[in-house]
Amino acid sequence: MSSKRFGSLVDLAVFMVLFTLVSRNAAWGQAQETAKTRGLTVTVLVYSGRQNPSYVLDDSDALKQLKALLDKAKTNERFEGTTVIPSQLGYSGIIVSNESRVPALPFQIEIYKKDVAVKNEGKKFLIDEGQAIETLLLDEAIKKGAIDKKILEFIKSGKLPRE
Amino acid sequence: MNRLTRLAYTLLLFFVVLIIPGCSHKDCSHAMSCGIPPYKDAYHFPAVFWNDGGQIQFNNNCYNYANNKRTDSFAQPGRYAGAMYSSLTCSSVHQAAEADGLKPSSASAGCPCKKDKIALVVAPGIDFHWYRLGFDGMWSHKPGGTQATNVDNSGNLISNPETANRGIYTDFCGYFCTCSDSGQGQGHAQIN
Repeated sequence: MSSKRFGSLVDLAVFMVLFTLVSRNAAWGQAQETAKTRGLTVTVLVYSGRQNPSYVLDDSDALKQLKALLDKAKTNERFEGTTVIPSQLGYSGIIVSNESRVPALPFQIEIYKKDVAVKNEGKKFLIDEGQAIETLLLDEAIKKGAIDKKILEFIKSGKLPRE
Repeated sequence: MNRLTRLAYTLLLFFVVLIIPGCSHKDCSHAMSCGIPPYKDAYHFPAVFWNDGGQIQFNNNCYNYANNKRTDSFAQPGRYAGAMYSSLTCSSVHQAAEADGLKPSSASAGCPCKKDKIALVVAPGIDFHWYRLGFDGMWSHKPGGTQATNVDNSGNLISNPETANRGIYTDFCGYFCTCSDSGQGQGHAQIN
């Protein structure tokens, strides 16, 4: 009886070791996959119920351009609030998530018109007077097929184009 | 009684006490307390649970907030039931919500204990949106991945979702009763 119990304990230990090894390999594989597909996940906040359109920004020229525009944007000392994303129905801005840690870019960027917030350990508010960051990301959204011209027009005017 | 038998009894007890009641979520019978939580929580911060600026806020939409259920999946009417809406019209989204177990109601009717009133609107062919009624008699909502709020697109408090400024969500589709909970994000509706 006791040798049987010992036998099941050994089986359990073997199972646990194998399970740990398989889990670790799976996690390592996932990390490799992320590293291969380095890019920013850009989500355009336009819907309330449906999943919002999103795309991966991985074009090196566009990434360089985004970095240059962020560097150029001035700090907005006067911004009050915790987010630049307005809580409203319709277009509410863009969220850029840098989960794969593209170098020299913040972990998260929020954009709504000329207001920009960059988040690393803390959050910093910027002002992009010409709205060039928003335009760049919306243009890329069109190129990538994440949004169509009808939605772009709605974003820009707040009104749906007539069919 | 040997160890193995005791272990089997413990597992059986665990199954009976914790797992089986979980199967009756649809009728709300296990809900611990009545009422949807207020828009302002006990600490008087606006809906802090939903407005974390991260995982909860960006992955839970108006349907999650109205049903007071966090799923982190941008819940879609009918998806849990395998009967998702086929078009963005009042009738299609209404039917999908009913498939999830939501009970149609009216503006004047109250909801039974442990259920709370929510309202559906549609931007025809574009999107849908939901509001929820707080026990203070006012309505609040969470436009997609943005923060939950108690004001409409004009910045006014929402006393009636039928007359609130809803932007392009022009079609008012009706009211429902859902299986809520007094804890934020702890609702019992079958949605995902």
